[in-house]
Amino acid sequence: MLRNSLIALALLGVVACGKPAPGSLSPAGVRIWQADQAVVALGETQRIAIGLNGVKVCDPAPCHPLLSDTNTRIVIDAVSDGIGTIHQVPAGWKATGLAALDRIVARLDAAGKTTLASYVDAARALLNVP
Amino acid sequence: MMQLLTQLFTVFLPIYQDIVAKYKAAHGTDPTDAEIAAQFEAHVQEYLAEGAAWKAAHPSA
Repeated sequence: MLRNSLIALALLGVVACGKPAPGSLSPAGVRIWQADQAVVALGETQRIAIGLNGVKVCDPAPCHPLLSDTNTRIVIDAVSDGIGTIHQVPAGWKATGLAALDRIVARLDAAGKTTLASYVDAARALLNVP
Repeated sequence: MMQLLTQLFTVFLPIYQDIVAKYKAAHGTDPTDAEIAAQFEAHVQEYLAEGAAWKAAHPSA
């Protein structure tokens, strides 16, 4: 849990330290910039899930992915749907992004929830940044 | 535990480096609307492709 929290904080720090929307953008450009941040938050959550799926643990035996294939697919499906919707309707980035994260949490099994909780919280925090 | 921790950071280090590189590239100068729109499209396609690639490699999951 501490491990997950540290990594999630690192992710949050790296991503959230981005500047506010650049002043050079028009109001329409700012909306696309915000939508892009939401896509990155969801996409990095997916990237983390795929990474965790690639980590094999052997305690307890037999060896297995740290995040199961089933849980990884849940994340990918939710993220793909969310990114697709944001692509179509960029103005709805926040509601769509948060709904995708809610869908992930609702569908993961207990082990998946434990493994991904910190990362999902980090992504949710990014989406809630004004 | 240390081995697992090392594995995790091995996995995530390139991800962090990639994020930092993209942000530096994106925010090094004031971007235009067109540049932000292009970045948005690129991110959408990139993440969708990554998900699709994983699913293609794990058809039974």
